[in-house]
Amino acid sequence: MQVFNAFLRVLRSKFGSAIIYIVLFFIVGIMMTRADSGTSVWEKTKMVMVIEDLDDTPESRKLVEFISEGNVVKDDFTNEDDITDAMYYTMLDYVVTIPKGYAEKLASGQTEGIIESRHMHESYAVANMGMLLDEYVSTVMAYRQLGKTPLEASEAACKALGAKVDVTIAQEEGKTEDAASMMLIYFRYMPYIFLCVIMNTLCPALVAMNKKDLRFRTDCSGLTPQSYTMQQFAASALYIVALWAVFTVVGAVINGVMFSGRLWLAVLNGLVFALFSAVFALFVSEFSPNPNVITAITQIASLGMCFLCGVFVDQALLGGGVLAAARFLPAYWYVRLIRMLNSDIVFTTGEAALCLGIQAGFVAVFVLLTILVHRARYVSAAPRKAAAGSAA
Amino acid sequence: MFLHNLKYEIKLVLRAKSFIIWLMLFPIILGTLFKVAFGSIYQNETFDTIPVAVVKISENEVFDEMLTALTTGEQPALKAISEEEAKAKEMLFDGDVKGILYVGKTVELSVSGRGMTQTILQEIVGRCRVYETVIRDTMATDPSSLEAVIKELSTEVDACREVPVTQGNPDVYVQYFYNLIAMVAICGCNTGLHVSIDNQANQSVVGARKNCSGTPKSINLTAGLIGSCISQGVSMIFCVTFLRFVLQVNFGGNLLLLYLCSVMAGCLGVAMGFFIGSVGRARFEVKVAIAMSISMVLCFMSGLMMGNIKGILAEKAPWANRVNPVAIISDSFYCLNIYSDYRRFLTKVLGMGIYIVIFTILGVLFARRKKYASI
Repeated sequence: MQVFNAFLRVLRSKFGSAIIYIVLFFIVGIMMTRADSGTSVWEKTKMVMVIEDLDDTPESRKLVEFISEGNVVKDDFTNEDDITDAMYYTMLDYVVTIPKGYAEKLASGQTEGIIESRHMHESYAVANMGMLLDEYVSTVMAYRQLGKTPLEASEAACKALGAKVDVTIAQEEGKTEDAASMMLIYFRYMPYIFLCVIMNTLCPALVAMNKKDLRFRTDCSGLTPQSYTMQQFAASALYIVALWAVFTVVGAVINGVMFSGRLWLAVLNGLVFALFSAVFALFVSEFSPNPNVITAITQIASLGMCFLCGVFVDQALLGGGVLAAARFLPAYWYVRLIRMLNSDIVFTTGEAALCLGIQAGFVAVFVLLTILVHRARYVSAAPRKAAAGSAA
Repeated sequence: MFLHNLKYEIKLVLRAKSFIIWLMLFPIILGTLFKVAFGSIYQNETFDTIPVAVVKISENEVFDEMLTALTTGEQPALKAISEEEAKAKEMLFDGDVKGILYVGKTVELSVSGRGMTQTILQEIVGRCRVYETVIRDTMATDPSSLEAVIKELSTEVDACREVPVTQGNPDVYVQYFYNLIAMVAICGCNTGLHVSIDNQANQSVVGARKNCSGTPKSINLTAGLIGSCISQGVSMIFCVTFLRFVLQVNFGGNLLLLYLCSVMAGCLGVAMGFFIGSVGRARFEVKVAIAMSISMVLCFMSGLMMGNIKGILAEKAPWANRVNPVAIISDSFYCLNIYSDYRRFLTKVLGMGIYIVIFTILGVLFARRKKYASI
């Protein structure tokens, strides 16, 4: 158990820098959870709008009433700069202007460009609002065909368009509890947090273990390479399980969730991904990179994988080509399982097992690669170096 | 002596492997990944026919007519398959259909998940509801007008005219590239950290040698900082050039100002690193951990990982966007793109300048007159 103990001692010596990463990335994780409202692209969220009624007629007021229904209308902006600023900071989604002469145009049957809109960022909600305004005018014109006045037609259009569509989400098994949704959002960001924290804290310790002085002393001891590697794996696993437990338990406490039902699958999912992060860290540290290189690899691997696999951007928004490539990365399967648990896609036990199995497969592959690299770089190189030394 | 030190400082930075990886490879790899991920988002929004299962509970002639209209034509909106409820559910879970339409007196929708397809399906059903209501009202009040009403409902109306807010590029995903440039800039704190570490006898061998040499510390530090700023500036120019001309990212605004702004942002990163390196007597590793963690938190708060975080902070804690150096950097690029006048852009540049001065002064104050009884 000497390697095991030595490894833990090295880890303890680096605890100062590790705790900085752990605390700060935990804060990032919590902030991500809080910032993510949990509304997916499917849910029609309320739009924050400004409505400028320059016509100020009963017909225009009816339109204002229709737009205001189900949206948040703000009227605390004092100038155009404030509106542009708010759109820039995404505090405001949409500005509707009802120009002067709207009611007259409606009465004369003129529909082309009778409403003006402004927005900064393209989104489905923005496109939908544009279509809704077109549909409103179209419905008003249809009611006008029944001999109704513009105001009566506007009232009828409001009523027709205001009807809600009942949508249910079909489930094969029990539905995820609402209280658990927050925890699932927290879990969704875990790949980034785990990769960053584990790589930044485990790699320096592993690199220290691979340093010449320590390695040469180990090489000339009675310890077999297999035993050395296994002890290193065991110590890393112990550290990772402790880290995973801390992130899971503290996350649950902060989000006020008790684990039950399918949420345990998310916990298991997190453990498998944490193990992957650990074996990836083991693999990288076999090349003895310096601290700057470790940080760079960490950022590229974590940010790159998380963007491609749908941790930061919903998988539903990513293109087919991107998702096809992402299938070769473990974070894709991690996120897929989280989406299943969150009812974003259909949950099936077989598919959930597949997601966990593929991630476990990645762990196995990187374990083998690490052993291979270790043998190539350190074990098989040692006799050659010794031979070269004696020849000289 | 100053020029000699400056020359070697630049050589030292440019020859460092970590510098090449961090500041050259980093924007290439992450920029390409961003481009791949975001480049296909708009392509993903193209419309395909959506397969749906229809479960009939009772007769609904109006809906039947609309369903026929929706399922025929060159590119129909829906592909309807009539099934029993159990079979329809099975098809839904197998992914053969995207939703189930329960047709009775009213139409209800059941979906298997929450995605764009389901949203579109909901909108289609909503539109059907409106048609249904208008036609029922027509039948109830004046059936002879039915043809005219249907014609009016089917006429394409372009009532909402979009007025552009900016002449720049309004693509929301460009902000991820702004934040990538800001991240590369702030990662210049690694370079700045080395300037500080290489001048402290208790932190590095080079620092110990420099401290016993006859060269004044002020010359060493000035040469180190200017050398780092030059190298960081080169890497920023490289980063912007790669994103703009190789990946063809449309930043909008004046490109020359974008280059100047990014070079200044690089200097801000160096100054921040120099400040962190100068404070306290913690080990190099701890200082790297502090610098990198702070950088990543600032990048997160600027929207590198979540594009909407800046808006949330603007609502909950507006001061956070004003004091976060990474947010100031990415805001400056954004202002250059969105606003035709340079008022806001200059405010952000001024903010960067103030940070550079404050970090440098504080760094110098902490670095000067350090005595080492034993190293």
